[in-house]
Amino acid sequence: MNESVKKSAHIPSKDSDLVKAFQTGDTTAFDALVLKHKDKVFNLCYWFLGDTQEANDSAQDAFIKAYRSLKKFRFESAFSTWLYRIAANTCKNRLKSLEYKQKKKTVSLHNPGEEEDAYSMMEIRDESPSPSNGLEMKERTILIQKAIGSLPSDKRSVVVLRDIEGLSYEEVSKITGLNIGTVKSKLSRARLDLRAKLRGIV
Amino acid sequence: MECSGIKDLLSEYIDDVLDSQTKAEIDQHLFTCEACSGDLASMKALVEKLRSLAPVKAPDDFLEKLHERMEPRMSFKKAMRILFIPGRIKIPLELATAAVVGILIFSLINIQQSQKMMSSIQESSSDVEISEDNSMHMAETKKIKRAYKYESDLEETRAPELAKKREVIQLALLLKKDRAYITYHPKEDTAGLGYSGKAEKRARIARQAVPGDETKAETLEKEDMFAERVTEESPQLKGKPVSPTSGLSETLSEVKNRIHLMDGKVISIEYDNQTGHPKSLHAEIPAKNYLSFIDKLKNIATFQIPPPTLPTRSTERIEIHISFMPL
Repeated sequence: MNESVKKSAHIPSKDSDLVKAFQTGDTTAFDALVLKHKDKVFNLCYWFLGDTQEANDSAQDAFIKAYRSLKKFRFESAFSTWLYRIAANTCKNRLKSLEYKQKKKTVSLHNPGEEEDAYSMMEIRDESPSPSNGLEMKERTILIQKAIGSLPSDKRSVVVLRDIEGLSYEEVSKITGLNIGTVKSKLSRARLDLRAKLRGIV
Repeated sequence: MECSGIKDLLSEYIDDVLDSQTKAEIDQHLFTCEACSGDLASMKALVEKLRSLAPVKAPDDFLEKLHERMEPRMSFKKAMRILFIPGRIKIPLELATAAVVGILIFSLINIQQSQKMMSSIQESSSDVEISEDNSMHMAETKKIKRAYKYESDLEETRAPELAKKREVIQLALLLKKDRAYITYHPKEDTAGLGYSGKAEKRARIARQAVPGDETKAETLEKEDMFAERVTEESPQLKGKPVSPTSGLSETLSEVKNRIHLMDGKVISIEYDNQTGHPKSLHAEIPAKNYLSFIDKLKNIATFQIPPPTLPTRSTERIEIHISFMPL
């Protein structure tokens, strides 16, 4: 069954058609949707949570929730928008868990300026003498991931959706449930924070 | 527009979402402000860096794992297949199942047999209440019941024996003093005593003869006559004293005669090994003739102790043991 789904997944198909097919009883249509969106959902979860296993579990949870609610989907937004919103909320809920917070090991949290948000400031332990010492790409990516992970949840979701996923302000607004003005302001602050944290690295 | 205002709008300036007038004002400020131009360059580098990050792909088995979570029945089937397909797991499980079934059947058969035994015990001992809480009482009751049963069985086995067994009546006879004169003939008084002895003997025989039974009386008289003839024809015995033994023997013979007269039978006679005297006689007679037999014996000898009366549960024939007690 999986092979047939994989073959059918290579055939260009609109999300709306697949959703309709699923709603009319074709359960394989959902597999096609999963294969089509799994990488973007997983990428969102990974940059949101900063951990591969957590991202995998959250992405699967998001697809399971989508599977259970897809028959009630009314096409008021794009399927991808609806799916990413489910994934973003799943990641937010997972972030709130104490278990996830305890897994923060290499990042020391300190926020003297904004005490209400413990993730707004982060000191990355960069033992290199200067930014021009030629950090490897992998190391730079890890530092960027940690800097994003230090952002508050709202800022993090906005910057991930906009700069990493490449979504529009409108899509980010629909996914996060924030109005466009708030998205703009949160995105601006998130970028300024990241720039401050990654000064000399990026 | 001042620098603080410019910094807040740089993010939108990069994304090109500002209106044309605001964008023109920022362009004019950046043209003259190196600091804000530097900030814009660093923010552009950050955004470009973020957008250039390589996307992280989902695992290849993402859909399969998703199916396992969404359809637990499929995983259950897979687990069952994993459990029972390998022979090293399947065969021991089948053997264990067979063993358990065998044990269950064996235990069921044993339970049924024990129930049958219990029901048979309850049926046989209807007067014994079997209580599960009082098993000791039940055991004791059974034991007592068995004991009673054994005794009743013994009674049943003894009864015929007692019925068959004849009662032995013990009698002890003392020889009368005058009986010694009958057989004892002193040398000086031979004729007189002998005559008187014969006359008395004939009279006694006549008395002893049962009325209507003259044949027996004649027989006894003939025997006595033969005894007299022997006495008269034996010159060596004549005039000599007769030993007391001969008196006992005569008494014995008379007793035997009475037994025969009563339709009885002499079973055995016991003699003393040293003296040769008859010690006792064992005989049997019909129970109906017991009283008349006792009367006859009173004429022959004296009872050492009064003869016992016949038991009420008398049988057809009784046995009599007579002990001779010479004076």
